[in-house]
Parts: sequence; C-alpha cells; structure tokens
Amino acid sequence: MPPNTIHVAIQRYDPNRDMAPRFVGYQVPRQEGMVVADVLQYLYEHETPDLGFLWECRTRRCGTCAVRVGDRPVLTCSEPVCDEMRLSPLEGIPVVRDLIVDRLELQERLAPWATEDGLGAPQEVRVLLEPGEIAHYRALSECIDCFICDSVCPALHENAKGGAQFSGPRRLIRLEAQVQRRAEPLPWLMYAAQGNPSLCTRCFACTEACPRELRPAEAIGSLTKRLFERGELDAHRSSHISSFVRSILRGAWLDEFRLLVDIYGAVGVVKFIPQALRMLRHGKLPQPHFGQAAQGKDIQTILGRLKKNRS
Amino acid sequence: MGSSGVDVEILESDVLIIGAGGAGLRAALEATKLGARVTVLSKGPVPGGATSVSGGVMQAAVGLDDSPDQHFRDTLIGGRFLNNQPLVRTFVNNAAQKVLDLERYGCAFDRKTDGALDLRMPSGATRKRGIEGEVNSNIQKILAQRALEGGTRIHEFMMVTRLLQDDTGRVCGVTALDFARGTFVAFVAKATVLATGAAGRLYAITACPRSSTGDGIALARRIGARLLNLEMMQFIPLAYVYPEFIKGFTLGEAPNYGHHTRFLNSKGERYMLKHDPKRAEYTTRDLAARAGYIEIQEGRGSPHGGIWVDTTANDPKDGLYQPHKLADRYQMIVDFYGPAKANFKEPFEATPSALFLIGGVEISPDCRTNVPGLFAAGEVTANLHGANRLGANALTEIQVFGSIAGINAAVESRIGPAAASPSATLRQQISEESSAAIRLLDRPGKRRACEVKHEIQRIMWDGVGVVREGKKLQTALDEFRRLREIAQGEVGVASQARRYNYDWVEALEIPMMLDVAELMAAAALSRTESRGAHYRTDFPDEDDTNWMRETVVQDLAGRLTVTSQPVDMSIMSLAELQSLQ
Repeated sequence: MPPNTIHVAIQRYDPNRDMAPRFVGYQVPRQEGMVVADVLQYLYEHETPDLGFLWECRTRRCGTCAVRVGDRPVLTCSEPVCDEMRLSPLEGIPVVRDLIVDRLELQERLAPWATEDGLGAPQEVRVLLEPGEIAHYRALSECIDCFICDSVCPALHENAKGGAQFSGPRRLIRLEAQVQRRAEPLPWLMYAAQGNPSLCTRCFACTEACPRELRPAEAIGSLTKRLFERGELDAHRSSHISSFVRSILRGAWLDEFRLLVDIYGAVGVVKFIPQALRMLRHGKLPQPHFGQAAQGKDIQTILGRLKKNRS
Repeated sequence: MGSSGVDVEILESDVLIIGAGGAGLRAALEATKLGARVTVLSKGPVPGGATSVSGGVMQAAVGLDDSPDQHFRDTLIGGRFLNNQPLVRTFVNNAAQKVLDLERYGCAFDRKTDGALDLRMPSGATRKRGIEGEVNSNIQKILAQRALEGGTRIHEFMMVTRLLQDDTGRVCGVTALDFARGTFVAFVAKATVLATGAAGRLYAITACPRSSTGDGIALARRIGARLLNLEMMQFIPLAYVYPEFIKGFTLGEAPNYGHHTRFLNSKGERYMLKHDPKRAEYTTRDLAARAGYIEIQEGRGSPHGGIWVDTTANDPKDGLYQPHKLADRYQMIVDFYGPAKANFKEPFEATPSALFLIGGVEISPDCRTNVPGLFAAGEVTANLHGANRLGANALTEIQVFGSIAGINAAVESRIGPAAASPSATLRQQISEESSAAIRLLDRPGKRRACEVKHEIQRIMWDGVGVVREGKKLQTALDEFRRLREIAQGEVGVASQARRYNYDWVEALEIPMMLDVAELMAAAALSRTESRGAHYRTDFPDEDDTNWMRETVVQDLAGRLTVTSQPVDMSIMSLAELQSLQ
C-alpha cells in the first residue's frame, strides 16, 4: 500500500520579491491515480495560492507544463507521482517564477523567421501527397515547444560562455520542417545556418528527452548535411574536417575519438563522458582506434596527392 | 497599472479577434491576406483551447458518391431538424474549399498510396467524408505561423473582461488583463470577431482544457447580443474517470472499438437495452451519454463513478481505435490501469463528459451578430448544429466560418471612417474595467475563486447536465443567484504574484461563468420538450408541433429576457426532412 502522503519539495522563486531560489517542502494527501499536475493544483487550491505553474490541454499538446522531477524533465499533465519528489523549473531556460520558464513571445517561439527579410509570407508551401513524405513531415512538425530538448542540450548551455551561438534543437527541428515543406528551401536553410547547427555535439540528449518522441538530433544532422552539401560551413565544422583529414593521414581511419581530443583537449574531453554513455546506448559511440586500416597505404597516397594538388 | 483610463495602454488595429482557436486564427489569416492589420487575443497559450485537444477529422463532401446536399441532409437529421438552414447551406457549400485550403497553408492530410485522400466515416454521417491527418493542435500552430507571417499580432494569456462600445452601441474593442505580465490593457479596432470557443469548464466533468469557461457568451450577453439554444450542450458518452487530472477526456464511442462493444452497470447489466433495444450501445451519442449518466446518478455506477465498457467480445481486427496512443499517453495509462485494461483486454471505466456548446451567439451566414461591429465564428455561435452536432462537423465549422468572419471583418474595417482617438465614453469604460480588476486584486477575500468555480461546476453537472428536470433547473437558477452574492461579497484574490496569477484570472472568471450558467439554465427551463442533447424527464418527447423554434436569451435594458423564435427552415420543410428518416 503506498503511503497516504506525498512529500514534495518545490523550488520557489519570484524575481520581484525573492533574492534567490529556495526549496520549500509540502505534503499532499495521496489519491489514487495522481499525476504531478494534480499535486500542483492541490497545493494551489489548498495551501499556496501563488504557486506558479502552467497547464492547459492535459493531453501533451500545448507544451506548457514541462518541469523537472528530480533531474528528469517531464510533462506534469501525464507524469505519475512518487512518494517523494523534488520539483524545479527546466534547466537552462530563464525562470519567470517558480516552475514557469520563459517560453518566449508567440512569434519568436512559433515563427521566428516572420520578421526576416525574404522569409515568411508569401513563401509558398508545398502540398504533400505521398504518404511516406507526409509521415516524415509529421515527425518533424508535431513539436509542441515544451522546451525540454533545449533544457537538456549541452551545446546550448555552452552559449553562456560567448562565442558562436547555438540555436538549440527546438528551433532547429522547426527550421528543418520548414526546409522540407517550403517550395523554395534555400532562404530557410541560410536562416538555419545562422543558428550554427554544426555546434551540435550529437549527444542525442534531445532525442532521448523529447516527450513526443520526435528526433531533433536527426533533424539537426539533416540540416548540417544539407549545409555541407552546399559548401556552407562555419569554422567549427571546418575544424572537424581538418581533424578528419589528419586522422586519415595518420591511420587511414576516421577517428572520431581523436576528433574530440583535437577540438576540446585531453582535459575537456572528460565532460563528455555522460554524453558518451548516451551515445553508447544509441549505438553511436565511436571507438578509439590504433594502428592502420587495410588498404590504408593506398588511401593515404591518394589523399596526400589531392592535398598537394589543392595547395 | 493605473486606476484611471489614462494609464491603461490602448493598442489599435483594423480587426480584433478574440480567441486563437481554429476559427480565430483562420479569421486572422484571411483578414491579413486582405491587407488588414490584425490583432488576436488568446486567453491561454497557443496552441490551447478546445481546438488543441480536438482530433483531426473534418467533414467535407469531396467523395464521388457524395454532395453538399447530402452533407446538408445528414447535418439536419443529426440536428433533429432544429438547425438554421441558411447557415447549414453556407457551411456545406464552403466546406471542401475551406478545408482543402489547409494543405496550401502547410497541413498534411492522410492520403493513400495513389495520392487520393483517405476519407473516414464520421459518426452520424452517411458517406465517407472525414478528411483526416493533422491533429488540430498542429493545424492551430500552422494557422498561427501563417497569420504571424502575414503580420498578425497574437497575444497569449489575455483575459478579456469586456467588449467596448461607442456612443452608438457599436463594438469597438475590448479591455483585457494581460496576466503574463500582470498589467491591464485595452485594444480598439474597427471590427471585432468573437471566436472564444468552448464552455466545457462550466461542468464538473469535461473534455475541455483549462481556458474553456465560455467567457465569450458572457461578454456577448453584457452588450445585448442575442443568444440561441443555450440549453443545447453536447455530452460525449465515454470519457476517462481517472487519473483525476484527465477526468472527462474523450474515450470515443462504441463503434470505435468494434462491433460488439458492451456497456455494463455495477450489476453487470447491459442497461442500453432498456433505452434502445434495437441499437443498444450503437445508438446516438446523446442517448448513450444519457443512459450512462442515469446509471451513475442512480447508484449503479462503477467503483470510480463511471460505467463499465467491455470490448472483450470485439474482433481485434475491428478495434483499431487507440485513444491512449492517440492522446500520446499510452504509457501513463498502462501505469495507472495496468496493461490489461490499457489494451482493452478487460472492461474499463468511463463516464459521460461535457464536450461542445451547440448553442451560442446568433449569427447570419456572413457571421454578423445583432450588435454592430461584432462578428462571431466557431463554437461560440449558433445555430449551425441544431439539437445535436455530428462528429467532425465542428472542425470544418471553424475553418468555414472563421474564414468568412475574417474576410467580412476585414472588409468592414475598410468601410467606416478612420479610427478617431478614443472618446470619453471609451475611456470611461476602460477606467471602470481597470479599477474593478485592481480592486479585486487588492481584496484578499474570504473565499477562493477556485472553490466557487467547483461549486458552479457541480451545480451545472447535477442540475443542467445530461438529464434535466424543471424543478431542478429552477433550483440551479436559485443557486447561481446565491453564488453571485457570495462572489461579490466574499471572493477575492489570495495570491499577490504579479505574473501568471491564476487566482486573479479565476476571480475574474467567476462572474462570467455565473452569467453563462444562468443563461443555460434559463434556456433549458424554457424549452419544454426534449430534443437531441437537451433531455428533460418532465418533457421527455420531441414536440415538432410547438418546438421547431430556437430559444432566445438576451439582456435588454439590464433585464434578462427569455423568448423563442421559429427556426429558419426556408430550404427544406419539416415534412421533407421527416420523410428522409
């Protein structure tokens, strides 16, 4: 029998009144079949009228109810309760108050391109007729803007350090949907390029966390590939390429492990261990390699000659 | 925030649209295409409102074996002949075009491998004319994107408190609490479109989301708009009973699960055989809802207060319906119900639930109301559906009439003189509203608004619910009068948060909800027959002789008047309609 009371600690913070966030503990009578939103609604109605949290649709479509339970970002409208819970707002997104984060003004959130020259109206949209294409498009377009993917994205958190700014998976999956759907995708692709998609670390945290099982990491990969094919690459991507070229010249092998060390340094690589574990789960972890590949000498010769011709 | 009109920011546009559901956003899109400067106000987030929880099927007569005439007949038969026929004619004639437009705006419909539309058979239709594909939250998002690209401004978390009128009574804007920021603001425009949608949150059990308290009906009432058939509230027969948070959310109907679905009470009886011996569980939605409601109210309900749905006799090949997966909460239901119930291998509990407000603001086929300057479209309007709405007609309704309202509002905004700076009359109204809202915030009160809200919802469910009766309706009216006094004297705002203060929003909702609840009870009391969604035990039969009429409720000179008018049957006579059955 589960206990009769749920103990929940909630991060409270009103920037208008409080110096800093703090956790406050509450107790809620447990009823059969409670989700986290029930707990929040109970507290609002019975104990703390100014508790700040959002919900609207109750069916995982409006994207407003995302919070962290422990360190897991979830939609409160459909997340079963635990006997003890620690609730805090999504990580890395500016907090408005308590559990409410800044989901941006509607235009910035849904159609950031609307004020860009050359984008928006009257850019034509393609009518989709083929079931495979329709299914593929829906897998991109059904994003509910819950901000969970952005909250778990390590590359987005790096933005705070300055330098090239990464758009984040939420914005990029939206732009990939536009690229696929517009009659003339090039302006959208160039707009996406401004968000530096190649800063994605391919850790798949976004895909893992997406409550609607969309695949932002793959969408970003698709965008990056298109940009590569058009020769539109930023400096970061170029450093990937020169590292790969060195790698081939070294051992006739694309050593992605060495790539990490080249870019981030031996010490910097340590912070990628959690992501490495995630990639391992997705079967995408590159193994370090030592020694020569077969036909390695021929590959190295060809590449060496090409390099000489270009310089 | 100031207490005088001078401190309240006034924002101006050509067209102002209240509501950002399918109808409001479609109206915005069409109005911007005509060059109007458009502002849309959404009470909640976008996507949000009833559109965001709707399925994705829209009726349009596009099949070779189909026609607008057939769609017309189906809609009239479903509506028990009470529909306004010119509205239905406009609706069916425009359905195909306005729905297919959505593809050019960015939606994707289900198509077969040969590229043809994959059509469904909606409940109550006689032809396959359900176009399906996008869930409506997606359509809503796509319409918002196109409208934003066209220059529309859309503001979320705007609680509209009043429709503003100039000296001639013409609607020229609104006042609103911007509760994302905690400021009071006014919007003025040359033409206003009311598209506020659903009212399910007036009831204790509903499929509707948080925002759907029917505010638009109250706003319209207060400026003397004519309101038709407010007794007509559609209840669906099957909805979740628990978890508490999703109580009331739709679980479809018997045919969705296959051909041998059974409904059982706590005694294991197939109670539908009492109500419809021929069709039993496969009867109309309103009858199924009514029967289930009676079983529960009379104490023969399931442990959580519903009835049992037993689909175990169905052929698994027939029952392709996966409501938990459709709502993207399959894992959650497995967690709460166990895998057997979640996969329909065991009977599961379900309850009737308030879904769709069939009645509403009276409109002409060009979406004009009786108040100059005010257009209306979508669920807030009447009388497209008569006494009962067919499935998948509402999602087409919002595209057709949203479009018409947007076009006509844009045209209207071009006709009159250029907008003058706000008059003394207007500033007075803005000042009144602003002061009232701030007084409410400053009053801690003795009772929470959420408490009173629950009371209203309980009275509505018991007294103005699936089954009505004269004395109980009168009792409900008395209760609403009592609650009004309580609200005025005792309800305040306990939360002093400035941003997203839902306690403040709910305190503003209470008088509006009471306005609408009172109208619905009064209309139900006045219709002395049963028809479609409106069922009374003291008048249990349809009365075609006396009641081919719409109930009309209207505030005139501060007094509520309750009358009726003959329904417009200028296209098919009653005799012709009856011969169709």
